[in-house]
Amino acid sequence: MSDIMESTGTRRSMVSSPEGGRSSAPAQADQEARVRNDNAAGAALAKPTTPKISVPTDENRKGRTLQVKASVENLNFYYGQHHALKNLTIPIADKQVTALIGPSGCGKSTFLRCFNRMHDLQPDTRYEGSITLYPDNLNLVGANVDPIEVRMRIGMVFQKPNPFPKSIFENVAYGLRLRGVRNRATLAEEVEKALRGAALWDEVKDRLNDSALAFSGGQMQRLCIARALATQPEILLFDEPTSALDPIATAKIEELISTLRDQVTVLIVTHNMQQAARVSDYTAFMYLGELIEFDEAAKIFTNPSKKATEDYITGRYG
Amino acid sequence: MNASERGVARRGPSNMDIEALRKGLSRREILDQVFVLVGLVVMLACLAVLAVLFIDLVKSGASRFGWDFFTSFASRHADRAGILAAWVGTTLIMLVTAVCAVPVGVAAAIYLEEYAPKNWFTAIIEINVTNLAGVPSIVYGLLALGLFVYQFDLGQSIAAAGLTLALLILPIVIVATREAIRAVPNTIREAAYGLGATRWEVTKDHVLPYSTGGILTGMILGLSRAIGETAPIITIGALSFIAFLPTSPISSEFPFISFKWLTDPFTAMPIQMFNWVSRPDPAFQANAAAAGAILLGMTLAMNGIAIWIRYRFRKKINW
Repeated sequence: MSDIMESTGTRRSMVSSPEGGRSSAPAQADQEARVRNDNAAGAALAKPTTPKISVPTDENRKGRTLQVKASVENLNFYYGQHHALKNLTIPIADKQVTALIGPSGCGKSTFLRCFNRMHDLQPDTRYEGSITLYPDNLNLVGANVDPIEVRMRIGMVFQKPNPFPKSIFENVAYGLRLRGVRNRATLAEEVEKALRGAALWDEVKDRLNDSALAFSGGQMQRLCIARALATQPEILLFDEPTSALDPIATAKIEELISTLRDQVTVLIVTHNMQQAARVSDYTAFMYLGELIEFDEAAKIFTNPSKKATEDYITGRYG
Repeated sequence: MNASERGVARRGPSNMDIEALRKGLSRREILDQVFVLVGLVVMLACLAVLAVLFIDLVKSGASRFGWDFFTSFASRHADRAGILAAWVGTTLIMLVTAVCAVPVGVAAAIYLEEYAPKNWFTAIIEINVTNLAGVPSIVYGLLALGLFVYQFDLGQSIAAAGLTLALLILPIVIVATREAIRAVPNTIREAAYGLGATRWEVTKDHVLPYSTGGILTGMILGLSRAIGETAPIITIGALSFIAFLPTSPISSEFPFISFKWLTDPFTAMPIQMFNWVSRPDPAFQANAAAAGAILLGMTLAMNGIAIWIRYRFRKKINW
């Protein structure tokens, strides 16, 4: 499917297992990662558990490997009898932006919502396969994994800005309150940090007690990002975050997503191919519930290997 | 598009076509105005009926309005009779009704909307709840007579009356609360779930606070239905001539709060009115009219509060 697969050398999945990764990825980088892992997790963790993803095409990063934050393997998803996602296998690189593109109804949002188990709120839905979250090897879609724990670790920003009809402060503090944070000073500190992280602090610092509904759509969406950031999620999911916004607000959100890369792994669904090209490091093209192509964004948008991908990004359909 | 097609498009409709179009349009616009007029007349007719009723009651009862009317017990002499026992009884019954019906009704609605799976069983419950709202109130009275008065041995008490009316308005509270809960957009629930809230946290932190306006409105509309109900409380045996008040809820001895009033006999506004209307002495008709006007005023005031609450909450939360 791509250089990534070849270079990691696994047969069916694009994510190399620890063993597979060691055999093909540059041994030195892997060794370093392993030492870091050992230091972090203590002696009990005998071997590194986080697979790597190689970066073969990017000139600046050539030869480097990136940690994988989550690896999706053979994921199938069903709404009742409807087979919505078919055998998806995608690595999600740590602290990078991965975009999901494809025409309406191709399953991008369905896929995104598997990461925080939103489907569990609907009756008669079923997951098969796995989404392994590293470094602790938690299968996000595992039957015995508590969806609430998953949602506490993986944040989400929705298509339509959906702040609670409460004050700015209470919106951002809600996730912390759910975690039992009661101390006013701690809350205030974390709220400020999250609002700064979402590039909203300067606009709202004097209006923290105003209702969130009094702000513009773009501000509300950045508030929703701040709300998700406040609890320091490991992955942040964006479900077409700018489709309800004007171009200026959209530009601000895109800029924000680029800066978020430093602190969190981002997965973004977008209708807008230019947006995917602008913000993402990796891009997956989906069609009718299947993954057609996954690669570095630069490659997908300049030199896709599949005809269907090329047709889509050149606007022949979708 | 070729040249000849463009030509057709440019030529446009002839003058005759435009005439026909304008004629058709003016006819449709007249129809529009006719509907506005019909709607206005129908609405004013309804208002007029209510106004005539109210003015007639006030005029007939005018001689009786005054402080004494509120502070006197019933009497054999029409000019000395008052509604003290009736309005105190009505107030206490409403208190019991609200305390019983609102928590149960809101909890049932939350369960049906937020927790219950959508299957045939909940569908049957839903249909039944809606049907219960249409059951004649005398049926509730008979049920209460057998259940509360005899089975639970509550006797002809304020508690029995309050529970009866609570049963009566329970479906109203449930239906109104469900509507209010359903008005909270799903995106808000998703936002809270997305942060890792449990179902109960979503309900208590978001769904309930945002639907409080609708819930309170439903509660008040239910109570304003209950306040005028006569049949069920006659059935359970309300006294129509009563010259004492229920035990005071505040007592001078420890623990200072008394619930003995719950078991006291009572009368209520509509019963007092019914009693006066059925007297042969025409002087009592003025009393009945005055009591009727006051009861109507109480209902209007409650509905007014409901509208005000709804307005306040709509202004605060505008999705």
